[in-house]
Amino acid sequence: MLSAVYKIPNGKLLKIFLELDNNIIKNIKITGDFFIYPEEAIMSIEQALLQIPIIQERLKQKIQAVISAQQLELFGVDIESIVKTILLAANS
Amino acid sequence: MITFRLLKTNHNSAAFNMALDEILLERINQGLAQPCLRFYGWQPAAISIGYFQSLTAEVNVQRCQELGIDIVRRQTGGGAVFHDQEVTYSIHLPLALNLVPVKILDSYQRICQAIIIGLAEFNLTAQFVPLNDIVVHGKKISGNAQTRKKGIILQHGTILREVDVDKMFELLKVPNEKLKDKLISDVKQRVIGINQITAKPYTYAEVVAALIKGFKQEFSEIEFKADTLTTAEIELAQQLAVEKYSNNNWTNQR
Repeated sequence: MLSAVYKIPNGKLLKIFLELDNNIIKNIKITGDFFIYPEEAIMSIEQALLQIPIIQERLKQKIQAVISAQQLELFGVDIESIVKTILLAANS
Repeated sequence: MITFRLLKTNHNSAAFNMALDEILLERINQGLAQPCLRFYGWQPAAISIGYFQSLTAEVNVQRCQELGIDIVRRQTGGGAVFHDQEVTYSIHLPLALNLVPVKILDSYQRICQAIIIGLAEFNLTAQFVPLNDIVVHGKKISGNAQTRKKGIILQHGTILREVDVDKMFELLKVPNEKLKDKLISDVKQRVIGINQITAKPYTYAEVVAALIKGFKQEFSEIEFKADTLTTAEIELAQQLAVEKYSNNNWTNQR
């Protein structure tokens, strides 16, 4: 299991756990002390990232799509930080 | 004037406390109960983790078990909290009552203002720090977390009476063991309990009384009426405590 911890400047502490297969996401858990409304949408974000290659733009698009579709509100965390931490974990 | 139930449920297990918050929201949603403000404590002492946190990344589960410390996952986001010498509140506010702003940040601030007024009873000058903290002299004295379900805001939070940072870090994991001592000394500088500032210590009941004053003053449009839990509420909460909040499927889900 790959993982990375990232303290978001002026934000919360993000901890991401990742399993890859040939640079494709097989399993991901996005954890930390942030807030997302509604909370259960974190599972939709994680689901949307499955089978996606570790390419910054692709990850960003996938997360953005879920946030827009479900009109999510994020506090203490943002798309850039999530993508950055996924990349950190992938290279860990 | 809108009437809210004022509930003092005192000290209970972590699973029961979190289950009761959920049951009360459900009962209000079903029209079976009035909105409420509740004060409670934790017996035994407990660690609660935020909805999004990883249990094993945050909590030294084995040490908690050795020391008889409860562990519970909240339905709200935010960070891990060691609940010991503190007062916890929860408030259930239907959005339709228009008592707090719809904007999440603004609603946190309005509810936290009640706590700030309550702390003034002890001559403490407290401030709200977005998103979810209240500080005195720059040190955190209260952490708060909110969820919104079925058109109802549930905000709960802790007001520290005394904080034992060394014990807290015995129970929590830190990202980097090498930096643990530094982290502990940092947190000691940043977190404080009421009784570590005031000239005389205040009991759980005294802090509850002060906070009730704060809520009554901030929410003068609400009549807070002392009430007790119904048998049905207690039984439903006990059931949910077993099925969900003390169940590994929930606690260990992330």
